[in-house]
Amino acid sequence: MAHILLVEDDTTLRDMYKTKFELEGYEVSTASNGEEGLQQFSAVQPNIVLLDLIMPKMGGVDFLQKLRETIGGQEVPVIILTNLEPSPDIMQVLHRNNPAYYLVKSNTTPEEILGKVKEVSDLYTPPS
Amino acid sequence: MHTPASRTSSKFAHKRVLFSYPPEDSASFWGIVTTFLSKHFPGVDRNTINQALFLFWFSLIADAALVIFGLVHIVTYDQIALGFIKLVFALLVTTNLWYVFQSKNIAVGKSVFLALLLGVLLILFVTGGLAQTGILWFFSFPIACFFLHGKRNGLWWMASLYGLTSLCVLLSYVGLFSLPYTQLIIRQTGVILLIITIGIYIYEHTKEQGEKTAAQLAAIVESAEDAIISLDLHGRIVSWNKGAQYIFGYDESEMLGNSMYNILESQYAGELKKMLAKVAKGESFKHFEIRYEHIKRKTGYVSLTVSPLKGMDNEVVGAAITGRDISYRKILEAEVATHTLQLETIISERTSKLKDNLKELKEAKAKEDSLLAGIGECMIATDRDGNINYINNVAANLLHLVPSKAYRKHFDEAIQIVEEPGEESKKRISALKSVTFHRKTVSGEFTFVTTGGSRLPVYVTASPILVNNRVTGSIIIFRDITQEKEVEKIKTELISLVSHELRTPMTAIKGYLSMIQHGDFGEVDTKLRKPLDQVYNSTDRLIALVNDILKASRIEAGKIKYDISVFDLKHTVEEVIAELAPLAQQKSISLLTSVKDSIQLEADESKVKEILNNLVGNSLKFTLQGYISIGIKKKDDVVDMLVTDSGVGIPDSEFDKLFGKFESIETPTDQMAEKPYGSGLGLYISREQARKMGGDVYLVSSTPGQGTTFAVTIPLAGSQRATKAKTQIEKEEQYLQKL
Repeated sequence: MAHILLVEDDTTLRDMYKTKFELEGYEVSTASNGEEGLQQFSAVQPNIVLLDLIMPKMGGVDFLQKLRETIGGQEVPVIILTNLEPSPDIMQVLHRNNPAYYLVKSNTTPEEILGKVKEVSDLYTPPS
Repeated sequence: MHTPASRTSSKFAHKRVLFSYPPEDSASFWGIVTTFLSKHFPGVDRNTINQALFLFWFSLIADAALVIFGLVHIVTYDQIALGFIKLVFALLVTTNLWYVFQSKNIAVGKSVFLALLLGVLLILFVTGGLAQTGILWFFSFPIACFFLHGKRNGLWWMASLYGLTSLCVLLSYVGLFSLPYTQLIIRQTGVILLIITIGIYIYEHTKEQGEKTAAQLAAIVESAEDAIISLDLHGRIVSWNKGAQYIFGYDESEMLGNSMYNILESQYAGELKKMLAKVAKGESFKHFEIRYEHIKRKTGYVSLTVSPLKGMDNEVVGAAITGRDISYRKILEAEVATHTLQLETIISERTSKLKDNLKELKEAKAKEDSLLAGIGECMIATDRDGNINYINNVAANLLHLVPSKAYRKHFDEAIQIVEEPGEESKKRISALKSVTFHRKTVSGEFTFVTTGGSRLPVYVTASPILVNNRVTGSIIIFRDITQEKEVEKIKTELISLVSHELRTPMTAIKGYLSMIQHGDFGEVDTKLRKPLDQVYNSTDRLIALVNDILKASRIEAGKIKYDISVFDLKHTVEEVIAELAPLAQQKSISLLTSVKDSIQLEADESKVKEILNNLVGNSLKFTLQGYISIGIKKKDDVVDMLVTDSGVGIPDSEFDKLFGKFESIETPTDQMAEKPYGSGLGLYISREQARKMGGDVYLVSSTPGQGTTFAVTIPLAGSQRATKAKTQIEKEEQYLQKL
């Protein structure tokens, strides 16, 4: 089963998504901000990243830029999971860093996110 | 009372004896003869009388000479025939003189006389006369012929003398007779005669020129309207022209020799006497204005110039007086003086009235000014051409304008208005600047630039000033809305923040609920299913509400991104139907579409889908049974998508509220089991987005109990409208980025 890195600052949501994906049999690592996220990424080398945008210390946008510069981080699929409405400038930056999906959390149920994760991880085979 | 005429005649009656004319001494011999001649030839000029006099004396001398010499010839028996001939000529001369005085025809008489003289001279030339001295008489001829006949005819007479004499010389050569004079004497006499002739000719010529000039001057003096009078140093009148006669009323014959003092009032006479004493020393006087009495007319005024008259030796012999009648000028001056006085009175009255009016006006203006200055709103007034003629202190302070400098400047020049990208802003600004032209009040938000260059958001109301339906100017009232803008910005930011922060807990509620319902935490008790569903729906509504609020605030802040591209409407409609079909099925409502063919539109597809979703979603909420259909209507460069339902309908009274923000519409929901939920922002957001893309959303028709039709207008691919909307969106994005 794929390994998911969940970068989310809200504890409740982090727990909720973690619960959902673990129930489905995924291995889930978590981080509460971008800095932690980068450390975790290097440590666990996940197959997929679920990323919140607004977080303390290091936000999702900066995290994504750094991730793409990290070894093994260029190809990993990233699903943006945020409550921020997509504004043109943010979308521009994000677009350059090739996210797989941009999902608005409040409009999406964990079940729906699971569907996207399945879809993405099916397409993506991690380098062995 | 004397009449002027009677007064004057009595005044001069005793003075007429003093007059002497002609001026020569009548006691002398010449005087007697001249008087006799002038009486004998009445109406004849002085020159002709002189000629008659000359003819008279010359004839007498010729007679005497001829008689004496003729008798000598006869008595001495020397050339008795010649003696008789001379007596005959004497008789002829006498006869001619008698003829002249009888017929008074000097012209013929003088020619006959000259012919006789010529004859006598030729006889003397041929015969030699007594002691061979006859040729000397030749010298009398040029004098006679030039004096009597003038220079031109005189020359002809002299030519005749020379011609006839030459003929005699020629005849003597052929031996017809012998001349008593030697060649030398004849030649010398001829030369001397020629010199005398030339001399007399030149004298006559000069005299004629002088006479001509004198005649011209006399004519000028005579015809002048001004009085021209000459006096001797005692004040006696020497000449008096027609102008003088016209002004003073006396004619020349009355005045010559009379004293000038006699016709002037005593005070003027005294002054003139003093002047003449000074004129004798060479002084002149100008503009000596006197009052005079005319015989027939009323008293008048004359302005005199008195200057010295100089004789041959440059000594003063008299005074020349020129006088101009200034009676009319005096009358005018008097009238002008009267009018001036009247005018002065009127002006002083008016001035005092004006002063009062001005004072009242000033008071009124001060009141008005303080009133206008007291208004908190900024105010600028312009004339019809847009030139500022009033600016209150609030306005001047706000825009950092110096009122005195802004005054009379054109509004456009004094105040710069920031033009935002797009046609609309340009149109609004031009409408604001031309209220005097289109006569409509314009109001709205604009950005002015202050003198310092900073931007100032203002709310402006510009209205034309109409007086009797004529535009006389405009009045522009505005207020600083910087604070309002700030508040609005803070409000938008706050809404955005709050919405965002609301979303997180709601995400958790929704997420966990969905997981519970999904059975992620174990089988859900059937009793709990319904309440869980209700909680879930409520959460969804709450999220939808927050989303709408967030979207509306973002639309207002211009933060929504549009990706304009060409897409197939058929595909979009299919997607919408697919998404909403389950819900329709649930309510047993048929969801239909007449869109069967591809139609290429140019807009943001996701937004069009959102709008359609919203409209069909609304229809689903308000339709209990029947159908919902999506139809299309193609126009020039747009397509109208018609969303029609067989729902409860909207009452007329609610039409205005449909597209407002947070407006709750009174729908006949009593037939419905529960009141359908809506944020009240759906139509507002839909319309704003459609308009941004060059389209629109509007209500086509609605009948309560029968149904409603809404339309979404979206531009066709490649249409002008689509291109225009795209350009506008790009411009706005660039503008926002710059900010």
